[in-house]
Amino acid sequence: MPRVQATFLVEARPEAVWSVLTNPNFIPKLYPDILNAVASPPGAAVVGQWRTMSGRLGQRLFEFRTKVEELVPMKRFVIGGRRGGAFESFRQVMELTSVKEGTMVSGLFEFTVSQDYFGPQFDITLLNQAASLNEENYMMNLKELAELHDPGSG
Amino acid sequence: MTRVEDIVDIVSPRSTVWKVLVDPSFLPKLYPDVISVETSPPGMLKVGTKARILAKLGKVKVEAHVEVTRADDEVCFATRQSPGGLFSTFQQTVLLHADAMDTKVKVVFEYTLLGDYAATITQAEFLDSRTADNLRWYTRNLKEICELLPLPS
Repeated sequence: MPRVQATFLVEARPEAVWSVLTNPNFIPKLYPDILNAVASPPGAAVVGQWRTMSGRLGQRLFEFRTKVEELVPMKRFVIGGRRGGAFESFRQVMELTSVKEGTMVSGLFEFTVSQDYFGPQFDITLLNQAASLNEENYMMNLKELAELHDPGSG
Repeated sequence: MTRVEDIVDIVSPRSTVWKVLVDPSFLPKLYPDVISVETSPPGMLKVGTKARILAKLGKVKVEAHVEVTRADDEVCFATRQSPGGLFSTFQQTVLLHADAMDTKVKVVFEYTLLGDYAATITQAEFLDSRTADNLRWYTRNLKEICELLPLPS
Protein backbone atom coordinates (compact mmCIF):
# COMPACT_ATOMS: atom_id res chain seq x y z
CA MET A 1 0.00 0.00 0.00
CA PRO A 2 1.43 3.44 -0.95
CA ARG A 3 2.28 5.70 1.98
CA VAL A 4 3.47 9.26 2.40
CA GLN A 5 5.07 10.26 5.67
CA ALA A 6 6.75 13.45 6.88
CA THR A 7 7.70 15.25 10.07
CA PHE A 8 8.14 19.00 9.93
CA LEU A 9 8.26 22.11 12.08
CA VAL A 10 5.49 24.70 11.86
CA GLU A 11 6.49 28.04 13.30
CA ALA A 12 3.13 28.59 14.96
CA ARG A 13 1.36 27.45 18.11
CA PRO A 14 -0.47 24.09 18.05
CA GLU A 15 -3.79 26.00 18.22
CA ALA A 16 -3.03 27.63 14.85
CA VAL A 17 -2.09 24.29 13.26
CA TRP A 18 -5.14 22.60 14.77
CA SER A 19 -7.52 25.27 13.50
CA VAL A 20 -6.32 24.76 9.91
CA LEU A 21 -6.27 20.98 10.23
CA THR A 22 -9.82 20.67 11.54
CA ASN A 23 -11.57 23.34 9.46
CA PRO A 24 -12.93 21.70 6.27
CA ASN A 25 -12.98 25.12 4.56
CA PHE A 26 -9.21 24.86 4.19
CA ILE A 27 -9.21 21.45 2.44
CA PRO A 28 -9.21 22.85 -1.13
CA LYS A 29 -6.11 24.88 -0.27
CA LEU A 30 -4.34 21.98 1.41
CA TYR A 31 -4.71 19.50 -1.47
CA PRO A 32 -3.79 21.12 -4.83
CA ASP A 33 -6.19 18.98 -6.86
CA ILE A 34 -9.21 19.16 -4.56
CA LEU A 35 -11.74 21.70 -5.82
CA ASN A 36 -14.20 21.84 -2.95
CA ALA A 37 -15.18 20.09 0.24
CA VAL A 38 -18.59 19.72 1.84
CA ALA A 39 -18.75 18.58 5.47
CA SER A 40 -21.70 16.92 7.17
CA PRO A 41 -22.44 18.17 9.76
CA PRO A 42 -21.05 21.52 8.58
CA GLY A 43 -18.39 23.32 10.58
CA ALA A 44 -15.22 22.27 12.35
CA ALA A 45 -14.30 18.59 12.59
CA VAL A 46 -16.15 16.31 14.99
CA VAL A 47 -15.75 12.56 15.26
CA GLY A 48 -18.01 10.97 12.65
CA GLN A 49 -18.12 14.06 10.39
CA TRP A 50 -18.33 13.10 6.71
CA ARG A 51 -16.36 15.05 4.15
CA THR A 52 -17.21 14.78 0.47
CA MET A 53 -14.74 16.39 -1.87
CA SER A 54 -14.55 16.86 -5.60
CA GLY A 55 -11.19 16.96 -7.30
CA ARG A 56 -9.70 17.11 -10.74
CA LEU A 57 -7.42 14.73 -12.53
CA GLY A 58 -6.54 16.23 -15.88
CA GLN A 59 -9.89 17.10 -17.45
CA ARG A 60 -11.83 14.69 -15.24
CA LEU A 61 -13.79 15.34 -12.08
CA PHE A 62 -13.55 12.75 -9.31
CA GLU A 63 -15.03 12.30 -5.83
CA PHE A 64 -13.13 11.67 -2.61
CA ARG A 65 -15.05 10.61 0.53
CA THR A 66 -13.69 10.59 4.07
CA LYS A 67 -14.83 10.71 7.67
CA VAL A 68 -13.25 12.02 10.86
CA GLU A 69 -12.29 9.03 13.02
CA GLU A 70 -10.36 10.46 15.94
CA LEU A 71 -9.77 13.88 17.50
CA VAL A 72 -7.49 14.56 20.44
CA PRO A 73 -7.44 18.37 20.59
CA MET A 74 -4.06 19.89 19.68
CA LYS A 75 -2.50 16.43 19.53
CA ARG A 76 -3.95 13.89 17.13
CA PHE A 77 -6.29 13.99 14.12
CA VAL A 78 -7.27 10.87 12.19
CA ILE A 79 -9.25 10.68 8.94
CA GLY A 80 -10.48 7.47 7.31
CA GLY A 81 -11.91 6.74 3.90
CA ARG A 82 -15.55 6.02 3.08
CA ARG A 83 -16.93 3.64 0.48
CA GLY A 84 -17.11 4.90 -3.07
CA GLY A 85 -15.00 7.52 -4.77
CA ALA A 86 -11.35 7.64 -5.69
CA PHE A 87 -9.90 5.43 -2.94
CA GLU A 88 -10.53 1.82 -1.98
CA SER A 89 -8.88 2.62 1.34
CA PHE A 90 -7.57 5.83 2.85
CA ARG A 91 -6.13 6.76 6.23
CA GLN A 92 -4.52 10.01 7.37
CA VAL A 93 -2.95 10.43 10.80
CA MET A 94 -1.67 13.85 11.90
CA GLU A 95 0.12 14.21 15.25
CA LEU A 96 1.11 17.53 16.83
CA THR A 97 3.74 18.14 19.49
CA SER A 98 4.28 21.54 21.06
CA VAL A 99 7.95 22.57 20.92
CA LYS A 100 9.80 25.76 21.80
CA GLU A 101 9.93 26.93 18.16
CA GLY A 102 6.26 26.16 17.47
CA THR A 103 4.69 22.81 16.58
CA MET A 104 6.30 19.62 15.35
CA VAL A 105 3.85 17.89 13.00
CA SER A 106 4.01 14.25 11.91
CA GLY A 107 1.79 13.28 9.02
CA LEU A 108 1.10 9.83 7.62
CA PHE A 109 -1.08 9.00 4.63
CA GLU A 110 -1.82 5.42 3.56
CA PHE A 111 -4.09 4.76 0.63
CA THR A 112 -5.18 2.42 -2.12
CA VAL A 113 -6.48 4.11 -5.27
CA SER A 114 -9.64 2.53 -6.70
CA GLN A 115 -8.83 1.32 -10.20
CA ASP A 116 -12.49 0.32 -10.58
CA TYR A 117 -13.56 3.91 -10.01
CA PHE A 118 -11.11 5.46 -12.47
CA GLY A 119 -11.41 2.74 -15.09
CA PRO A 120 -8.77 1.16 -17.32
CA GLN A 121 -7.88 4.38 -19.17
CA PHE A 122 -5.98 5.59 -16.08
CA ASP A 123 -2.61 4.08 -15.20
CA ILE A 124 -2.51 3.03 -11.54
CA THR A 125 1.09 4.19 -11.14
CA LEU A 126 0.20 7.69 -12.31
CA LEU A 127 -2.84 7.73 -10.01
CA ASN A 128 -0.64 6.75 -7.06
CA GLN A 129 1.87 9.45 -7.98
CA ALA A 130 -0.86 12.09 -8.24
CA ALA A 131 -2.25 11.10 -4.83
CA SER A 132 1.22 11.09 -3.22
CA LEU A 133 2.04 14.50 -4.68
CA ASN A 134 -1.19 15.94 -3.27
CA GLU A 135 -0.44 14.51 0.16
CA GLU A 136 3.11 15.89 0.16
CA ASN A 137 1.73 19.29 -0.83
CA TYR A 138 -0.94 18.99 1.88
CA MET A 139 1.78 19.07 4.51
CA MET A 140 3.66 21.99 2.94
CA ASN A 141 0.42 23.94 2.60
CA LEU A 142 -0.57 23.15 6.20
CA LYS A 143 2.70 24.74 7.32
CA GLU A 144 2.18 27.78 5.08
CA LEU A 145 -1.42 28.40 6.19
CA ALA A 146 -0.73 27.87 9.90
CA GLU A 147 2.18 30.32 9.78
CA LEU A 148 0.12 33.20 8.33
CA HIS A 149 -0.24 36.16 10.65
CA ASP A 150 -2.63 39.07 10.97
CA PRO A 151 -1.80 42.40 9.27
CA GLY A 152 0.55 44.53 11.33
CA SER A 153 1.48 41.69 13.70
CA GLY A 154 4.45 40.32 11.78
CA MET B 1 -11.62 52.56 -8.75
CA THR B 2 -10.15 49.53 -10.50
CA ARG B 3 -12.24 47.63 -13.04
CA VAL B 4 -11.59 44.08 -14.24
CA GLU B 5 -13.80 42.69 -17.00
CA ASP B 6 -13.75 39.34 -18.76
CA ILE B 7 -15.98 37.55 -21.24
CA VAL B 8 -15.51 33.82 -21.65
CA ASP B 9 -17.19 30.94 -23.47
CA ILE B 10 -17.58 27.92 -21.22
CA VAL B 11 -18.15 24.56 -22.88
CA SER B 12 -20.74 23.51 -20.37
CA PRO B 13 -24.46 24.09 -19.79
CA ARG B 14 -25.62 27.17 -17.92
CA SER B 15 -26.90 25.02 -15.03
CA THR B 16 -23.37 23.69 -14.39
CA VAL B 17 -21.86 27.18 -14.40
CA TRP B 18 -24.55 28.38 -12.04
CA LYS B 19 -23.92 25.53 -9.58
CA VAL B 20 -20.25 26.45 -9.33
CA LEU B 21 -21.01 30.19 -9.07
CA VAL B 22 -23.36 29.87 -6.11
CA ASP B 23 -21.45 27.18 -4.22
CA PRO B 24 -19.13 28.98 -1.78
CA SER B 25 -17.01 25.86 -1.30
CA PHE B 26 -15.50 26.54 -4.76
CA LEU B 27 -14.37 30.10 -3.95
CA PRO B 28 -10.89 29.11 -2.65
CA LYS B 29 -10.26 27.44 -5.99
CA LEU B 30 -11.69 30.29 -8.06
CA TYR B 31 -9.50 32.98 -6.45
CA PRO B 32 -5.85 31.84 -6.18
CA ASP B 33 -5.12 33.72 -2.94
CA VAL B 34 -8.36 32.94 -1.11
CA ILE B 35 -7.79 30.31 1.56
CA SER B 36 -11.22 29.92 3.16
CA VAL B 37 -14.76 31.27 3.09
CA GLU B 38 -17.39 31.32 5.81
CA THR B 39 -20.93 32.20 4.85
CA SER B 40 -23.92 33.26 6.85
CA PRO B 41 -26.30 31.55 6.46
CA PRO B 42 -24.35 28.43 5.42
CA GLY B 43 -25.21 26.67 2.16
CA MET B 44 -25.57 27.93 -1.39
CA LEU B 45 -25.18 31.66 -2.00
CA LYS B 46 -28.45 33.57 -2.27
CA VAL B 47 -29.55 37.18 -1.92
CA GLY B 48 -28.57 38.41 1.53
CA THR B 49 -25.86 35.78 2.15
CA LYS B 50 -22.83 37.37 3.80
CA ALA B 51 -19.38 35.90 3.22
CA ARG B 52 -16.21 36.41 5.23
CA ILE B 53 -13.34 35.68 2.90
CA LEU B 54 -9.85 34.96 4.19
CA ALA B 55 -6.95 35.32 1.78
CA LYS B 56 -3.17 35.34 2.00
CA LEU B 57 -0.65 37.80 0.72
CA GLY B 58 2.83 36.52 1.36
CA LYS B 59 2.75 35.58 5.04
CA VAL B 60 -0.13 37.90 5.94
CA LYS B 61 -3.83 37.10 6.28
CA VAL B 62 -6.17 39.44 4.43
CA GLU B 63 -9.92 39.63 5.03
CA ALA B 64 -12.69 40.69 2.69
CA HIS B 65 -16.41 40.84 3.46
CA VAL B 66 -19.04 40.63 0.76
CA GLU B 67 -22.79 40.21 0.48
CA VAL B 68 -24.84 38.67 -2.32
CA THR B 69 -27.12 41.29 -3.88
CA ARG B 70 -28.50 39.37 -6.89
CA ALA B 71 -28.96 35.69 -7.63
CA ASP B 72 -31.34 35.44 -10.60
CA ASP B 73 -31.33 31.72 -11.37
CA GLU B 74 -28.82 30.92 -14.16
CA VAL B 75 -28.89 34.53 -15.41
CA CYS B 76 -27.23 37.03 -13.07
CA PHE B 77 -25.18 36.86 -9.90
CA ALA B 78 -23.89 39.92 -8.05
CA THR B 79 -22.10 40.75 -4.83
CA ARG B 80 -20.92 43.94 -3.13
CA GLN B 81 -18.66 44.65 -0.18
CA SER B 82 -20.03 44.71 3.34
CA PRO B 83 -18.30 46.62 6.16
CA GLY B 84 -14.83 45.55 7.26
CA GLY B 85 -11.84 44.11 5.48
CA LEU B 86 -9.88 44.98 2.37
CA PHE B 87 -12.37 46.92 0.25
CA SER B 88 -14.00 50.31 0.66
CA THR B 89 -16.07 49.49 -2.42
CA PHE B 90 -16.44 46.19 -4.24
CA GLN B 91 -18.94 45.06 -6.82
CA GLN B 92 -18.99 41.81 -8.77
CA THR B 93 -21.50 41.11 -11.54
CA VAL B 94 -21.66 37.83 -13.43
CA LEU B 95 -24.02 37.50 -16.41
CA LEU B 96 -24.78 34.12 -18.01
CA HIS B 97 -26.12 33.63 -21.51
CA ALA B 98 -26.91 30.21 -23.00
CA ASP B 99 -25.30 29.69 -26.40
CA ALA B 100 -26.45 26.27 -27.74
CA MET B 101 -24.89 23.82 -25.23
CA ASP B 102 -22.28 26.36 -24.12
CA THR B 103 -22.50 29.33 -21.82
CA LYS B 104 -21.21 32.83 -22.49
CA VAL B 105 -20.18 34.43 -19.21
CA LYS B 106 -19.42 38.10 -18.59
CA VAL B 107 -17.72 38.94 -15.31
CA VAL B 108 -17.17 42.50 -14.09
CA PHE B 109 -15.39 43.49 -10.89
CA GLU B 110 -15.11 47.09 -9.70
CA TYR B 111 -13.35 47.85 -6.45
CA THR B 112 -11.47 50.34 -4.35
CA LEU B 113 -9.10 49.18 -1.63
CA LEU B 114 -9.54 50.55 1.87
CA GLY B 115 -6.37 52.63 2.26
CA ASP B 116 -5.94 52.26 6.03
CA TYR B 117 -6.34 48.49 5.93
CA ALA B 118 -4.15 48.10 2.85
CA ALA B 119 -1.39 50.13 4.51
CA THR B 120 -1.09 47.50 7.25
CA ILE B 121 -0.40 44.80 4.65
CA THR B 122 1.90 46.05 1.91
CA GLN B 123 2.44 48.79 -0.67
CA ALA B 124 -0.93 49.87 -2.12
CA GLU B 125 0.08 49.46 -5.79
CA PHE B 126 1.29 45.91 -5.22
CA LEU B 127 -1.86 44.98 -3.32
CA ASP B 128 -4.03 46.48 -6.06
CA SER B 129 -2.21 44.56 -8.77
CA ARG B 130 -2.37 41.30 -6.82
CA THR B 131 -6.10 41.82 -6.21
CA ALA B 132 -6.72 42.45 -9.91
CA ASP B 133 -4.75 39.28 -10.79
CA ASN B 134 -6.97 37.24 -8.48
CA LEU B 135 -10.09 38.65 -10.08
CA ARG B 136 -8.80 37.81 -13.57
CA TRP B 137 -8.04 34.26 -12.48
CA TYR B 138 -11.59 33.90 -11.16
CA THR B 139 -13.00 33.76 -14.69
CA ARG B 140 -10.31 31.39 -16.02
CA ASN B 141 -10.75 29.03 -13.07
CA LEU B 142 -14.55 29.16 -13.40
CA LYS B 143 -14.19 27.98 -17.00
CA GLU B 144 -11.73 25.24 -16.07
CA ILE B 145 -13.84 23.83 -13.23
CA CYS B 146 -17.10 23.94 -15.20
CA GLU B 147 -15.55 22.11 -18.16
CA LEU B 148 -14.35 19.11 -16.13
CA LEU B 149 -16.01 15.82 -17.06
CA PRO B 150 -17.36 13.60 -14.31
CA LEU B 151 -15.95 10.19 -13.37
CA PRO B 152 -16.67 7.33 -13.51
CA SER B 153 -17.29 7.68 -17.24
